[in-house]
Amino acid sequence: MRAEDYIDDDLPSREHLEERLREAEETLDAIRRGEVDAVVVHHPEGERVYTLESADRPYRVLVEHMQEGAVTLTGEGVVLYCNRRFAALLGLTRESMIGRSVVPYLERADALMVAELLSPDADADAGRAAEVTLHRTDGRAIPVTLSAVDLPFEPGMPRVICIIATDLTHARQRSHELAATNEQLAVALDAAGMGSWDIDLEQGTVTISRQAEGILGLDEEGSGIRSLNSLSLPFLAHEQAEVRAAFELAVSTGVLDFERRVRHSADGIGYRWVHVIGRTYHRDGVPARLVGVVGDVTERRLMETQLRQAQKMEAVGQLTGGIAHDFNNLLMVIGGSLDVLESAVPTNNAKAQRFFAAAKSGVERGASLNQQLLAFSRRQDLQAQPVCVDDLLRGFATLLGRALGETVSLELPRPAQRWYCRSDPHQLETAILNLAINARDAMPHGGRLTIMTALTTLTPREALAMAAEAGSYVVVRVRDSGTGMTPETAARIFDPFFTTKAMGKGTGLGLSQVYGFVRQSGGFVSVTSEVGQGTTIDLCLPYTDEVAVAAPVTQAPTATGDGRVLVVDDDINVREVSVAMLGALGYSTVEAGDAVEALGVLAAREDIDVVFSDVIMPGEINGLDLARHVRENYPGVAVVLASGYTAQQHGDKGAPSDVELLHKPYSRAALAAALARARTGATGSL
Amino acid sequence: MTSSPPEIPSSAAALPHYKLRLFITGSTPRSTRAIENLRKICEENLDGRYELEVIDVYERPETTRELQIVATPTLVKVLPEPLRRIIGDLSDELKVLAGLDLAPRHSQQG
Repeated sequence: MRAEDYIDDDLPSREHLEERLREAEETLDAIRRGEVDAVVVHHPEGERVYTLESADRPYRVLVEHMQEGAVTLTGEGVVLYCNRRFAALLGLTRESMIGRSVVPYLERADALMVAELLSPDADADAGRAAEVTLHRTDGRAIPVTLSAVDLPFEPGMPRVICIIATDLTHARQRSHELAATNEQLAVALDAAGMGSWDIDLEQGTVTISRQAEGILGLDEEGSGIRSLNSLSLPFLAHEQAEVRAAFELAVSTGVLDFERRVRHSADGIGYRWVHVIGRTYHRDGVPARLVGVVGDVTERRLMETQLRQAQKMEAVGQLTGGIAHDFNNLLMVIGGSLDVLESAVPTNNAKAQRFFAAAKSGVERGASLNQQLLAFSRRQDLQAQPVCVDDLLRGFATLLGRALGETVSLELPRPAQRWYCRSDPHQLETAILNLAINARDAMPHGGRLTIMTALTTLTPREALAMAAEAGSYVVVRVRDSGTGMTPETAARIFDPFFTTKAMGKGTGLGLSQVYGFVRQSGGFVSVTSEVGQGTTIDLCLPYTDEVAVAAPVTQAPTATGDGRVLVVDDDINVREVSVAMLGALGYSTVEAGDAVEALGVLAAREDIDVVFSDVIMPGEINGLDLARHVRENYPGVAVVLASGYTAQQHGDKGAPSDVELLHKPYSRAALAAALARARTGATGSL
Repeated sequence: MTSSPPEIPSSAAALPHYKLRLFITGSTPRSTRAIENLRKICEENLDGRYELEVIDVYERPETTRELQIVATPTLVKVLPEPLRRIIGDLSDELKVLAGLDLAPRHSQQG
């Protein structure tokens, strides 16, 4: 206190002066007694604070710059000091905070926790912490962590507790965001039918999501801390080593991608296929985590197998069809030549006639085999019409019974309804008969054969796997109580020439006919078989709501004739045989190697009565085009077409209705009948 | 300081409203003790009718000039007038009460 302070005052009262004097004395006394801990010196350039005790300035600077709230409290929670950050957490100024209790800013439940934190019973040396929620003056709630430690003061001083308050708002928000992301990921994985797993390579622990546990079948074996082995144990015993090797390899290669089978008791086959994909993540250049997903791909693999089977059958069918076509021509040449030769041999030459008969029987058997090949390759003529399978079954049950023999009983349960499917009844009979004979052979010691019908509907997804159209199908189920088949055998039963029967007992074409016929009818076949449990074969034929109309059967008469026939065929051998056969029937002939040449002949000559052409010929104009041209431009000329297979030619560009179709190989009698019918038709249209 | 403080509507409307400033130096022991002591005294004697500003002279050294603070802790009674400074850690309650005009100063001596 300086003298001028008093001089500046305007006539200070005595009382005032006394008061100032008393204050000055008290100040001096206090300083003398050590009741102050800092002295403020007023310099002209500013004030200086001289701390008499601990020079705590650097620490204060640090504390003031902290992003955490720092506060010293009395044992009752009264704020002795706080940094700006702490006051800001509560939305207050520091000046208003000091001297106030923090309790009103706490939730009731948290107040107890804080009381414990401040309690003198707490271990003074150890740090204590609690997560509480602070209520700001603006009403917002701030989650914070309070960590407390006692400030050691000299004896006799009140307790002071130092507390650091860390704002958890951002951390909480991040953990919420993380949780939300995790949830989205889980939902996405669930929708994809996948589960996730995460291997900590440093700790050797595995985290497996609930979905992944389900897919791997782990939930059945009880959960808990997972070791690295928990990922390989669900797999089939003999595949576990490979699975472990794949995981180990992935640590160095960085990628994991395999499909293996896990045990699955709930499933009939005892296992499920799973697809495991993963990636390795590095920390400081060292593999730290192997993370990935797992999905059940059993259904997909099943579909792939079915599709592969369908594709294989398609390819084999194409090949077989090509062979059958050439084979037909060969049979045609042999059979036709035999016909011609036979007529040249005297009827009293019994030995020669016997050989002719044997040779012709061989041709017939060849033709019959060829017919089955064509059936398999779906290139036979199908007379599709609405068929009630149940009626058909009852119609030839006697024949079936005879084929099955006495030791096998036949059961034909009545279906709920008489469904109609679109099919060729004769081929369907053959197919069922083929299945029945196979079933009989699978039951050497007798058994039971059940044939029943049902109706089923295929979804687009199921249809895709069967390479069929979605829709309704009439199922003809043929079930035996026989020996059953291994999966390997079951996969091949429709392959042409595949047979498990002894040499000479079967052609290996029976089931191929079944397959080809059903496919050509627009249906599909499914096989269920297990060794010792019998076999069930389902023929699924397109359902129709049309009702059968009895088709009139006409028998063509055999006749000889006369006139001039233009024979068109690119195969010179076939052509020669045809010419010979026609000659034997009394016709004169003119030959052409293809359709263009045939048109030239027609244009040049007017004495052609019949055009007899092969359907399939090289060049731009095939037999059907030739037939249409002839019918349009030469109404008086009859047309007969011959083909090894014609089914595939039917469609929007089929043969004209009054054109006769002859199937190779044909007999002389069939040729004569076709020519006679064609000529009648052509003449009739004049 | 001639203007009178705004009237605080309360049950103690007849009693004067106190405006106090406590000059301290952070968390030093006497400053701490002064805060504690003052708080207790205010709660017991000035419940609801005081406004306390605790000023850290480290933070705002310039504030000491106006009120002629020479040492901390120092409590200043700004209102009601007359302005009065009480130096020390305020552990002598009677002295503080006397300084705040809450108890006759002479009773201490008598």
